[in-house]
Amino acid sequence: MVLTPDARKIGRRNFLKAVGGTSALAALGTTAVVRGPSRGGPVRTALVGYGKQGKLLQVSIDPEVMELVAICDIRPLANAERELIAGTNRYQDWRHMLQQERIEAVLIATPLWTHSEIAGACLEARKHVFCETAMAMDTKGCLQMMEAAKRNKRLLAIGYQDYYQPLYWAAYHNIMKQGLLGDVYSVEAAWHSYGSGRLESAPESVAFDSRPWGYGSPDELLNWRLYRRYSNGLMGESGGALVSLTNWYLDSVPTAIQAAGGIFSYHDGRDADDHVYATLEYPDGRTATLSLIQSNGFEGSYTQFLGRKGTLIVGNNEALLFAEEGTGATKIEAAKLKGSQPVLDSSASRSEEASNHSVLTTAGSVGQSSGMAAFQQELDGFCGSIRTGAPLRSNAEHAFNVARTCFAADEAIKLGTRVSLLETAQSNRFDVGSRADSRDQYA
Amino acid sequence: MWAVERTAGINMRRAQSGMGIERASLKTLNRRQLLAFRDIAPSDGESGLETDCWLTVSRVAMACRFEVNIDSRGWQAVKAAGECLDEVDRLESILSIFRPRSELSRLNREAATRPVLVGPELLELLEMCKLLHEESEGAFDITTGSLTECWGFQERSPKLPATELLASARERVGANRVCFGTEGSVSFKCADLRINLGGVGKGYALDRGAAKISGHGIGTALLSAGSSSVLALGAGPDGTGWHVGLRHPVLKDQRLATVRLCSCAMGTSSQEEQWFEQSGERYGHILDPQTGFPATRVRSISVIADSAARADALATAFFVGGPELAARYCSRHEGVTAVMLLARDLHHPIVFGSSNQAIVEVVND
Repeated sequence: MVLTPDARKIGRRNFLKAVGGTSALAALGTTAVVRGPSRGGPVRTALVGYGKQGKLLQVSIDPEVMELVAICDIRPLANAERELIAGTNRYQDWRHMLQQERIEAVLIATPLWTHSEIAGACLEARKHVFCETAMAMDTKGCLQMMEAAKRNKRLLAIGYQDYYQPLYWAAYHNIMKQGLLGDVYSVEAAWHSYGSGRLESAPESVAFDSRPWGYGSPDELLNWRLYRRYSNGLMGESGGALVSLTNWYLDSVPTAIQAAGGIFSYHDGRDADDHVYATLEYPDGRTATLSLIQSNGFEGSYTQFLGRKGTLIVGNNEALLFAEEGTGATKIEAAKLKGSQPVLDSSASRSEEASNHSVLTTAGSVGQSSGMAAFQQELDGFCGSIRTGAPLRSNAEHAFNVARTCFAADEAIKLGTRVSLLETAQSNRFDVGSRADSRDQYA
Repeated sequence: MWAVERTAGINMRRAQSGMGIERASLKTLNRRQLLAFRDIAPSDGESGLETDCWLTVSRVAMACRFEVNIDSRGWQAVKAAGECLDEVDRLESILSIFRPRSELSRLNREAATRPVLVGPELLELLEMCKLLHEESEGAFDITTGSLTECWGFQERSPKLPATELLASARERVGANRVCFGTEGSVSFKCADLRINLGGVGKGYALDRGAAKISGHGIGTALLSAGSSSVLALGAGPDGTGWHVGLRHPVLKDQRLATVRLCSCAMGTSSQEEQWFEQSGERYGHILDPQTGFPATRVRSISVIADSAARADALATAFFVGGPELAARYCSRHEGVTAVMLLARDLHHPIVFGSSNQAIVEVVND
């Protein structure tokens, strides 16, 4: 996907026209769920995991809807970090925090391998859980989390924040759902970056003994994404977001997957692949190809939906829409002959663009949108669901379908074969943890 | 001063009741139905659809919606309409000033420095425009491109131009500066002259598209482009002409008139869709090539003529030249009919000329 600046401009303009209807604006109103007087006040919350992702969550909290009362991290915090959490109770062990704090919800932003245990325990302690992506290391972990949510009637949200990106939400409702792309048979998704992804340890962390917490060294804790005992690698950590968006926009889940990958560029002791390619088969002849690489960041991250009538590209915090020239744009209607009304009324020439779409005057906020807006929206949405019982957008069932796809990609790479997802698709359907039990609200 | 006629064209059979397409009953055929329709249709012309069913086939081109209303009973109806719309697309790629690679864009770039060879379609249209320029006493002029640019209408961001810019743009206008050489070459006698076929291109595309439909042996169809250009092929579903309304430019829920068109075309010009207001003054997009300013006396004009290109061009010309030009022209050219609404009287449209191919019925309030 290489676009000239002019092509990009045209695509953005097309997109803004297409989402210019009132439904787009209505779709952006996530926070309306929790604005105004809400029973129970701000949701008392604790944060487990104060790394980069945890800090993003912390700064995205709107104190009107969420009160952060405790922060938990196994690492010794730097002075600057301590200043950031002033006024908040600090814990090293999340179990201790769970016993001590009177909280309603827990935000989990820890390495993937801990998700299932922490989330399961929090749900068993009857706390609502918002867990950063991905869901869990394996199917068993995912199922344990979902069962715990169901058993305790608590919400389990998994932070696929595309669901809360105003831009992506508008594109889904105003372009995909309206059929502006026509039949979509092909999806191309990319997560391209340049660099090893390896982080340098801070001096105060080097002396930290991480072994009691399950990490071989402070470096392994810091760079946990590069090691398969703590993460599901590139596919699980980055590919999941692409699968999530594709599943959502196609209103479907894959039935089979083929994949390839390996460590080709960074032989630095990691055991997680630095290049992964996957082909996902969806029902009705639809196919998505995913490309995840760490050796070239020219194209960044994007997903493009190639329809018979047009192309929608979302990613890099923008959305672009292009008509498919010469095909698919022809509309055919049938009419019966009756009455004596004129067949048509002649008037001054009308622009098709003007007659079809009203231009959104506040379009700038929709056409381009920052990742931070999505963080805020997803936390607001989570609190809104706790207080009002409104369904979560990024729920456990969706996250589980994404996770299953990533597990299957791993299997396909290992076995060098096509892996079917059909066997488990029906038996693992869950409708749990996506709606709070209104009979058991905190007052 | 000029004749006000209630109807024009008395040779056509009067309308019968029961004709017309009920738009409210439109339904969209999905692709499977269409393919099934095409596949099962026998070659003798009968399809599986209901016998009184007409199709509207449409596509966006030239920044507006092109429509073909066509009898569904011929199995080739959709194919013919598709070919018609393909022809429109093809012509747009030749005639558009918004496409840098179009023949017209190349002509505008290069013809001031050397003769440029142009294709048969562009040459035919340019020659027709030259004739219409002369016939309309200069009121229709395709060389007003620099004026349209200067006023910002081309980029759809209009503004009152600075006096010196307008004066400079006016110097670059003049149809007599377009020269036709031998073997299809065209050159400009003025640097920076800009041809804009916006006043005639849609009509020309309808004319050429209609030829594609006729080529399939289809006798009647109604083609339109952006509501302003209409071409009636044949005499309509019941042989009494295609029934078309003329929307009142200001009182949008009312009609000025209704017309029945038989093997002819109609073009409508008004400034209701493209205009801006500055310091309490309203400025429309139809510019007088003589003054460089928007024409103001006419509020709406519809012209019926033998071709859509001609009807469109004359509508622009009469909008600029006013009722005097319309009266003179229609009296000299048989078959050209005009329905004009003046800005000073929004309730009484005036009809000029008569035609054997059309019936005009003015709606009196």
